[in-house]
Amino acid sequence: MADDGRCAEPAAPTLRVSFEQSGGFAGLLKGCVLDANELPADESAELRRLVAASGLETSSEVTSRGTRDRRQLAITIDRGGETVRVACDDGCTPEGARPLVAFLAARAKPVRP
Amino acid sequence: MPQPAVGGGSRSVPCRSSIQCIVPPYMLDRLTHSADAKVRDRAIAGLSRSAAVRAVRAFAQEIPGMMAVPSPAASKNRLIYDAKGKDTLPGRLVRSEGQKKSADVAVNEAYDHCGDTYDFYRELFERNSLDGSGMTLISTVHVGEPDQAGKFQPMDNAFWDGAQMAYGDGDGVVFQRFTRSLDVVAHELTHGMQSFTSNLVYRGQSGALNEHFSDVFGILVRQWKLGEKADKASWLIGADVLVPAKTRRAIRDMENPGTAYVDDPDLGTDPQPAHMKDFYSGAADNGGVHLNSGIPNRAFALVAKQLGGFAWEMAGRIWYDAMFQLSSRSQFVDIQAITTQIAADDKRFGKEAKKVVAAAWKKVGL
Repeated sequence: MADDGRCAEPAAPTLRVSFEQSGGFAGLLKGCVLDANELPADESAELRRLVAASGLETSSEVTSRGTRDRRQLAITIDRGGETVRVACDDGCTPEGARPLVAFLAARAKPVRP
Repeated sequence: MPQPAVGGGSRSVPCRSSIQCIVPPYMLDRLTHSADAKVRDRAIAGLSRSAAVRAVRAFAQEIPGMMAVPSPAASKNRLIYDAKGKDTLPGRLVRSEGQKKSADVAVNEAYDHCGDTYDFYRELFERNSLDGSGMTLISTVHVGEPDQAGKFQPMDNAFWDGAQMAYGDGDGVVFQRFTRSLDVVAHELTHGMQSFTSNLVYRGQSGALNEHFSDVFGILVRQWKLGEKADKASWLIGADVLVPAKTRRAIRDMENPGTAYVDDPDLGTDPQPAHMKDFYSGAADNGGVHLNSGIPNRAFALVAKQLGGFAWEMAGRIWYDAMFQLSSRSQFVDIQAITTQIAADDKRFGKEAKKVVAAAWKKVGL
């Protein structure tokens, strides 16, 4: 119960997403860490929607073979104790996860190796 | 006009059914337990298909010739396709060998740069295309990738998919059309050629050597086309594909790795090491294939400048021979040893070449 006597909003579930992109012809290293509970409301809702739609529920490591200069992707989804790690490249990103990858890539900044 | 199959026919870049892509099986595994019989059956069929695809792909990795599309006359044969901003390869055929110029500049750039690269290998090394047997050079331009809303945007990349080249048009903010750059096109084609020679595994040091050879022959094709001598030539890779800004000169600098861009708001600072003491040992970028290539790149530029003249005449020939002598698992010490050994041939390279090559490797910490 809140101080004013009304029922308090239930705490939003934990959702923390780490993203790392490397390789590609340019060999750029970029990354970001997004915490849904610290993002503006609209961004937080979009991140939650994209994670839910991504289908990334089991850790996996997949790569295209025979290709060169593809971008390497590493995504870690922490739902509060339950962590999923997915490593892939942009040639074999699961179809449902591509919008999430685009969302994360748009927010990634250069990082030092 | 009929379109020849490329490694199994038309496919999407993220390739659910491509020979080039491993389908992550975890989703299909889950669906095989679905209460819906139709979903269950499709998942089981999908798993069978993906297992077959993986088997074929593994085979193709071992025998790249399986992926080559032969040319009708076993000679220069270029096919340029247009993905029209989507991600399905190869797309629609828009220009074939001998056809007149297109109204589309990207199509002509891909066609011309492929031709220059073919001519370089043919005239200087008597090699008939990537496989040595006149393999068709297939390129797709205007490749796109979906944004978070599923709307396609120009791709910020160029890549070799195991059977063909693919080029994006860039975002117009950092990157421009990747077909603009002759060294980028020659770099991608050299990846293809390597699959028929050393076939260096694309991870760790062997992967960095794979990138190194693509940069070496990418820059040599451009220097050859422009008639530049080593001491006057540019050693910048990908300068033409960047939107100009004070904080960026190129994607890589072979002569001075780690200086191509500095404090750029979008690119950061060039992370390439120039010496073994700064060797990257992390997991990103397949173990730093685009990073650690800076070390042998610098060694090559040092050799080329020290030997003088046109870089493709001496340094290029030493490295070309090395490309055939390395194995798929070769490391930096192997290219050091092999190039030094090749350079010891006085009759071909003169008495100083061996010393020059050895000194260059020493300078980068090997």
